[in-house]
Amino acid sequence: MAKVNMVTALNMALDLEMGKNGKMLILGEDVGREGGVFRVTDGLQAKYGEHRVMDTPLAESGIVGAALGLAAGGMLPVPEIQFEGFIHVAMDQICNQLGRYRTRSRGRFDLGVVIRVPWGGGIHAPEHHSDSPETVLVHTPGLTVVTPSDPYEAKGLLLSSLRLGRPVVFCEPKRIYRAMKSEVPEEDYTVPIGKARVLREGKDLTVVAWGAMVREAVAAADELQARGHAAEVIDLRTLSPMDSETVVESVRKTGRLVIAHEAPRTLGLGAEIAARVAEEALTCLLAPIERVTGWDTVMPLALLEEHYLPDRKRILAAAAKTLAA
Amino acid sequence: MALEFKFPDLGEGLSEGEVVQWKVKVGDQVADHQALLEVETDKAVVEVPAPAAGFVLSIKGGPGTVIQVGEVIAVIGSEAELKALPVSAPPPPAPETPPAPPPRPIAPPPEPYTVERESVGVVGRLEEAPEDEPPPRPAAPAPAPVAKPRVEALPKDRELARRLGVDIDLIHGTGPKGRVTEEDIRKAAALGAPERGAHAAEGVRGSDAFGPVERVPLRGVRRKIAQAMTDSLARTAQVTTMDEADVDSLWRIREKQKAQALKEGVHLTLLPFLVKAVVGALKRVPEMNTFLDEEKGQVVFKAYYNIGIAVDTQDGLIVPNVKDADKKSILQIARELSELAQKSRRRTLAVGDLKGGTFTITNYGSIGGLFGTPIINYPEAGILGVGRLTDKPVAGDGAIRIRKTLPLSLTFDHRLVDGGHAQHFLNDVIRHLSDPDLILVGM
Repeated sequence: MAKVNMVTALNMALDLEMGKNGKMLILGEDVGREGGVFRVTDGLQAKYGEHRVMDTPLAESGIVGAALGLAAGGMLPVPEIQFEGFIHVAMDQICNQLGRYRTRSRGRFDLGVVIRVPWGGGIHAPEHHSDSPETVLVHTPGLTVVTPSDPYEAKGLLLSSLRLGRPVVFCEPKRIYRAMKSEVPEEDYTVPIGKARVLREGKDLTVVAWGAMVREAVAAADELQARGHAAEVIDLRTLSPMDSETVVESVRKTGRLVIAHEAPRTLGLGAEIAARVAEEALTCLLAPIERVTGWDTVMPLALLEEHYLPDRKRILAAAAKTLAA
Repeated sequence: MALEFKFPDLGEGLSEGEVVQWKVKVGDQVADHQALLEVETDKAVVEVPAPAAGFVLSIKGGPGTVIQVGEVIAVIGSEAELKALPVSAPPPPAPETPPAPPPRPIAPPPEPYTVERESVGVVGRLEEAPEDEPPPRPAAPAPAPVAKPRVEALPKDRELARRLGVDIDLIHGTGPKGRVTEEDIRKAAALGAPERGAHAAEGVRGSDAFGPVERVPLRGVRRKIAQAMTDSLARTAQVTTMDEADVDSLWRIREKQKAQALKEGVHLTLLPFLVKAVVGALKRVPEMNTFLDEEKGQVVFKAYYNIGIAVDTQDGLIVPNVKDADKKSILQIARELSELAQKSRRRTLAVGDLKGGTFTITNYGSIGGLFGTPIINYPEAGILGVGRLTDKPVAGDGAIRIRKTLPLSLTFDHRLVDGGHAQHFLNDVIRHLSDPDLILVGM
């Protein structure tokens, strides 16, 4: 089995599904000849032709709008928004149209559109290229929001998304696009949507993360282990619908919760998770819930990026706080 | 005066940079904050501004030169200083090999995820996995420790349980879904509280100027002890005298009789003999069995002998007394002593057991220590401290023998008793302990 990075794993998933499903199309800025700025769609245009892998003008609203029409016509469009910062340009199509189509049509049109978006910070990129606006999408009804944390997960989750038959925003943590490799089977396999993954079991505290933050959470858990504390690490995988059951079940056991995300603190998904745990498992909490997040300000440029992004150390500090309480 | 401009710390733990290009050359006039050079660091290319206005007297290195934080990279001076430079002063040859680099400043330890290999994309820089990375896929998850779900309780009730020193996990909840309620906790506390010291139950954690502390209210036995000790020291004139008793023969008696005593259900120690010796001494030195009635200005001589025994309990020191010790046999006293000790520890003493003492014995030697300065159980006139029984070489009759030796410390209230009386008392106690036959004949 080949050990590949996330970019390759995603490419494998797209290639596999394009081969199987003649209705699948890819469209976006530079996705064709260039193969995408991060090379996720590399080689696909050469293999499947310009009519199935299409370069579009720089117009996110148009890209998603076109995808919506294609899906209503029975195709499986997979648009790429080049960076998460530009998804806001397409929010009218996503929020006002795509997410509502099923309800609006009383179930006659359930649009299978998978919008792939490179997500998050950590690559020293310019403004609008390092954000984590997942809250906006999770808050939008009608969307499924997915984010993988390693190559194996990426291929399996993307294949599930492509077969879901509903609008999906697939957030790809670009910071770990190439930073880790894992064994990814050539074969077809899926990772379930809507089900969080318990990466590591522990009895002393629960750490919830997703995307690139999972790697930091695991590193923190390693260090906690060395100090004699067993941390349970949960990769949320699907942000909407959120598998809070797995989180609540874990907190019932550990009594302590640390949530780590790159997005700003206020109304970041950590707030929603904390609220659900308070609703379901308040009586099991041994310490206040800790959130380790980005700050309530614009994601800074490269020089200060590391001050903004939560890391192993900040997760550890929060864990220590809950363990001391 | 020329200004030596050192490569500034650009933050982020950067310790060095690489010169991209100089924007000035030697001889140039520069304004304050004018860009001097471009430096590439691990993170970015930055322009380094001039620290002051003046003339560039020298610069260091050219494109590609690595410069360390703190290293002098340029000298800026006045026009006069520029003119004073030797005419032949050559402008710095561009990519000149720099002189031996200064010692490297101590770099911070590397972060666990330093970007070791980077691939430059169209936008930004991506961290690249090493070719042979151990699989990041969760290796077989470590066997999970078995953990049972937490008991259900509201945070406010957990807080209450903590304050009352009750282990909430051990309480059976009677609330909805088996939740442990406030009432459950209070009931558990009422049942279990005496088992725990006041300290664990009521401490409030905080910190003072020097570190973390826990504040515990002064309550119960502890408060009474504090009050009694302060009273005793404030209202009497205490002096302590110390001596040793040779208890070799007494020890032999005790060894010989303890089996017989056990048959009677009594654990025989030296203490009842001590009580008997003290009672005898009190009779012979009655000043030691008095108290001072300050109101009436009278010394009250007591004709009864209730000997108090200090008992160490979890909550603190408690001093019940053996009533009329002069009228009781050693075995009787032994039995009473063990009953009183047990009642003290269970906190089931009657008030009468604690009142009416005339003199106290404190046997700290059972824990350790030789001599002490016991504090009088006010308003009594004296207290006898008993140290640890030891085997000691004793010189006597021209020979050195190993003897069982008991260290004694007598504190007396000098208002009532003078040193002579006190020493006579102590001598009498020692004499009876050394020659237990005297106890037998009641002398």
